[in-house]
Amino acid sequence: MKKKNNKILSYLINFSLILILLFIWEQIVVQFEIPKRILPKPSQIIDYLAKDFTSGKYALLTKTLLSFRDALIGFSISVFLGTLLGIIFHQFKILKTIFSPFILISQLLPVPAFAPVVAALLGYGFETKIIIIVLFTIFPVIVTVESTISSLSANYFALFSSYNAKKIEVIKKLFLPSILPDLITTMKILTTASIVTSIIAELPLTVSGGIGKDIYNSFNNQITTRVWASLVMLCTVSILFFKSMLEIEKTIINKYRYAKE
Amino acid sequence: MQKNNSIELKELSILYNDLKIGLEAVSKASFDVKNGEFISIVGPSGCGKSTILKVISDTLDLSYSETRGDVKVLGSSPKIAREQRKIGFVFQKPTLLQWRNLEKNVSLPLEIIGLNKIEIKKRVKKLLKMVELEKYASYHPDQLSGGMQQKVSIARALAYDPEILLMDEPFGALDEINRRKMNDELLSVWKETGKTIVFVTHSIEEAIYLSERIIVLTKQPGRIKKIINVDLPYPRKNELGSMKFYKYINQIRLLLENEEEIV
Repeated sequence: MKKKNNKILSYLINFSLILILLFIWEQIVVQFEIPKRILPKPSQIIDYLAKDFTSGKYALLTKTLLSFRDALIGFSISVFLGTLLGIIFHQFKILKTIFSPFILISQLLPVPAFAPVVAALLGYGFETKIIIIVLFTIFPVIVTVESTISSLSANYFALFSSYNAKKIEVIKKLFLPSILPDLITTMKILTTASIVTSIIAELPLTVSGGIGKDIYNSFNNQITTRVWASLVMLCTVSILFFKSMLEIEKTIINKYRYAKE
Repeated sequence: MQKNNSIELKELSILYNDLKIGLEAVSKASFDVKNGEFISIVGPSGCGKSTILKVISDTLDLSYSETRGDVKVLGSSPKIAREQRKIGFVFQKPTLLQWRNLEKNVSLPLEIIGLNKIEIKKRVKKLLKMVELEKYASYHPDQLSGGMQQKVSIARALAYDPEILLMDEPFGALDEINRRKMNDELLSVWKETGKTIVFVTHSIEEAIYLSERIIVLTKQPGRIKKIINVDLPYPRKNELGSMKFYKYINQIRLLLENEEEIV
């Protein structure tokens, strides 16, 4: 009971803090007469969002959701493909040695610089966008999967070997369940990373309808309020995505009693 | 006589070659284990006790080691015996899958073998009853004590009804009282199932309490110093303080202590 009260209290504090900050922001803009194209008032941003919703167009929402959808597609491919590659790398160390430098390099390059290069090579469409997201989110998955499997006690391998288990059984009954907790931790980090990459990847591409492109255009046309309104939408979606991963994690950890030794 | 042997080792040598210097872990060990026999291997740490079990169960990592000599398990090679699932292994640590409850842990080998669900349920129930854990079927490993976890691991090793049970210091991490209790339970399992058991331990007392014969190994490289017949009636609870029991302890202790002279 006490725990629950604490939670409510911390929510209340958070909420009031945000309100206070918004109020200060509003006052600063009013007092110093900051023009709207430099910093809009919070009330103007809220107004802008409200108009977008009441007009029935839901333009910002639709665009945010589209960017989010692409992030989710890239994210899912990364998790699936990364797990597969992690397992393959564990099985064939030689492949790991060959491919690791390339994957590492793809991580070292900043997305804004690398995305146009990829686009020039692979075209400016939807597939390229997904490929860019996957390129920038798959590495942590591979590393997590490979290292978690490698750190399993040799006894587990001996155990499955004494059952004369097929490789697929070892993967299903030993590898996948053992990597799950660490994989979910990595997935939590990738929720935001995939959304950020999705936004940035939109800039050099011709795929339209995403919030990234919209932010870029609004900024160029000095519609700063729209930029801010878009950011609010983006943050909301990112937080919801992250929170839902947290919930999934909690459910799985509790159900299978992971890490409760 | 040949037919009555579960395991036959002839001049088994095991070399570790990962250090480039070719460290010999076990040197020319020969012994037989009879069908249904309870045999223990004792020796100082690093004498290759566990490695011998790995060779018998065909789970030794051959990229770091090589073996010489001849090993027969139930008349064929260890590999074939493993593939036919004739060997159950119990490790020093319970090695349970923490995300599975007890029932699911015991059923793991049966799922891999591909038994149908009804048969699995029946067998698991019987096994958990044998190790007196049927009440805890839905518990997860982290909710049990070390001794209970090890019992689950024994039940799991017995699940697919292997003919040989290899145990690598299974009670080494338990306190004295629990260890004695587990010893008694293991003996009752042995009596009930009639399995051949090869039991590795560093406790002389435990070896005498449990086994019909004891193989005493020397320090690295492990050589067989002596094989001792333990001529005490089961159950050995009453023998614990006896002169005869004490004599066995002394005999083995002397063998282990004086080994320097022979090597």
